[in-house]
Amino acid sequence: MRGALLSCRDVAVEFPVAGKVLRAVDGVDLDIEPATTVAVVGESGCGKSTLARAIMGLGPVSRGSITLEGKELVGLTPRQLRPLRPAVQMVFQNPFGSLNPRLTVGRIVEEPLFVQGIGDRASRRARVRELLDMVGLDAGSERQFPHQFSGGQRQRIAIARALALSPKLIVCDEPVSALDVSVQAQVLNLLVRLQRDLGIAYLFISHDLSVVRHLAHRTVVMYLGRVVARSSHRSFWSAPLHPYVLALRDATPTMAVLDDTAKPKAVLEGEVPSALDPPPGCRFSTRCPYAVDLCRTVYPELRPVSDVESVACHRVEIASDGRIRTPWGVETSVAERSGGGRTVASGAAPAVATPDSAFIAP
Amino acid sequence: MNAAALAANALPAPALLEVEHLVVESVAGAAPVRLVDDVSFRLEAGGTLAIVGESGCGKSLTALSLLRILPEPGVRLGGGSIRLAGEDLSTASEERLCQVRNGEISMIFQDPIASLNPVQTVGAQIVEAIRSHRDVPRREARRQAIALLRSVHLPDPETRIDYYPHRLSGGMCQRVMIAMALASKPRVLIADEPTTALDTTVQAQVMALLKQAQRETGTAVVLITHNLAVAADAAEDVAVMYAGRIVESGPVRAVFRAPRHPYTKGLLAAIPTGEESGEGGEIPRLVEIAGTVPRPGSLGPGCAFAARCPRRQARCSQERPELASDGDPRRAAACFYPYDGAAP
Repeated sequence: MRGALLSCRDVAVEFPVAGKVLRAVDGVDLDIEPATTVAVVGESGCGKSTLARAIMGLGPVSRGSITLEGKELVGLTPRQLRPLRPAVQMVFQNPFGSLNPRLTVGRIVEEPLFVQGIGDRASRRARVRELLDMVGLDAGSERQFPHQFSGGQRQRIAIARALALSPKLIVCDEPVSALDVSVQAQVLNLLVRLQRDLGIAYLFISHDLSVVRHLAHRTVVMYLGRVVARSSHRSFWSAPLHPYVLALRDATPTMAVLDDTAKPKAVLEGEVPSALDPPPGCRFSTRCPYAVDLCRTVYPELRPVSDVESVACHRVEIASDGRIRTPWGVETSVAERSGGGRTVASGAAPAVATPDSAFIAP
Repeated sequence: MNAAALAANALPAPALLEVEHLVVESVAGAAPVRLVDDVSFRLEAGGTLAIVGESGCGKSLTALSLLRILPEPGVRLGGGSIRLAGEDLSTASEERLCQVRNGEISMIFQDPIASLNPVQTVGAQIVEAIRSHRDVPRREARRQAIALLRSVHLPDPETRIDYYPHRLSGGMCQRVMIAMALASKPRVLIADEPTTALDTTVQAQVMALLKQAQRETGTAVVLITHNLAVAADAAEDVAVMYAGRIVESGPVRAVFRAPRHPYTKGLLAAIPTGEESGEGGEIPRLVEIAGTVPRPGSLGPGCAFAARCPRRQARCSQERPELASDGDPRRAAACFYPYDGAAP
């Protein structure tokens, strides 16, 4: 197994709320290899953004370990964290709120270099021009202010800022959700090109399945603070092995409705329960059409289905001959669900996705 | 097709809502700037029209102008007519408009939590909506409110009717908004990005609910959305707006399967499908529409899309193409060099 760039083991983030404990993130394992995009998908309250903040060192971690190239991040003071920060940068959802309106674009992109004390004024300016060119903004933009740019252009500025310190990982929290479709494609193409050219890994937080299906090498689906499915297999969405993955896919509007043979999709009932008072057993059991008594009492641990896929569901049966059966009609086999992941396209590392079984704690 | 249907086809049914040459303009600067420019469409009873486009294209202002609730005085109706069953609302009195808003045309908004009054219970707000257009006793209105909340599948409506909005989730607030909008049995329901602020699984619930309500009440719906897939799923007809004008319109399936305007085609191509296209290999490049949406007021005499258009010719930046149909009378595109309607 090639070393992961970033590893989370049993990470939990808890907040005290009105005498109770809110477990926003509850025992998450996650690995990100260089030049790889790992997408974390889920609805609001699933803990995806809290996990991202924990990885950035922006929030408290109650339990578990987060390591960056083998170095433990949990428990470090801000002063100890500072020399590690250049390796992990962030791009936020709202390009209107994440850029200081009173600074020029040149100053905004230069800021990380300034804070880290890198180079002199002239060399920083040269680097800023190089960065703006990299994200497709012309040289004149460094003297302009954020309000003079559209949403898509502002997101390019935010990406240039994130690139300033040559990070190994960029945490992207819904980076295209606030953008229009035509501009979204520009920014997604930019992110893919930068990954190919620079070997950057992305932790891509999103609720938009079509975007995730487009660019993720591995997908992690969270529900109420826990990982319910994790896969780098291409059939993850088309033949889902978890009922919540199935429900998310069916709830996402797509152009497939134009197909005359398209069948009406079942609509999942109910809403995500409160994280303050999660249901016993499987957290999805209150909305799952396939739940049985076992699901309502015992939490299904995340178990490997194949070398690239794990699911947390009691109803997925894996027979000794390798056949996989589900009550929602997906029938496959361990062999079919093995390999088949998207390879990491880049000169940086000819990586095949990490065997999933290798990072399940024994 | 039976004889009755043939007869109905022969005479064009009077449209329930007929908007012609609508102009909305900003009067904040020295000269008025057209934000919605010469927009026309028709909506039949029980039908659904989706108005799609990117931010700033004028789709929401078009919706607000139907109810005459534009953010005046900065933005005003600059011309055109809005006829509801033949009656022109663009010249109606404020008193008459109040009646229309209370009964005949309802609206639901993108942010359901901000659209409810935080200091009144959900029940009080629905009762007010019911009593504003029908003279019923408070007790009876409350009974009707519970029935409405049940019809929008709000769980446990007898209890939740006495909740303040902050105790409900975004999805529940949107159900309450829909219940309020339907309280008056409106002829037209305007839904402005009704699911954009909601989670994926709740979005599907709310769209299913809107369809059900429409089936049961026969309300016509104007659906404003930036999501082409939502429009494809929910509407029969679509109008694609760009920079304040309709650039293409027609039956939603025909338009999306074989778009004629380069902007519609570009929008459709830019949606990532993720349909295993990158299987085992590199991530495919998405089709981009180069450049950005022009700012209102910066438009020249030509087509607003010309600068970004892959098919532009010299004529496109000098002369503005009118929305015109070619061949199929139900379809129209504002383009000198449209695609021929073959599959994209």
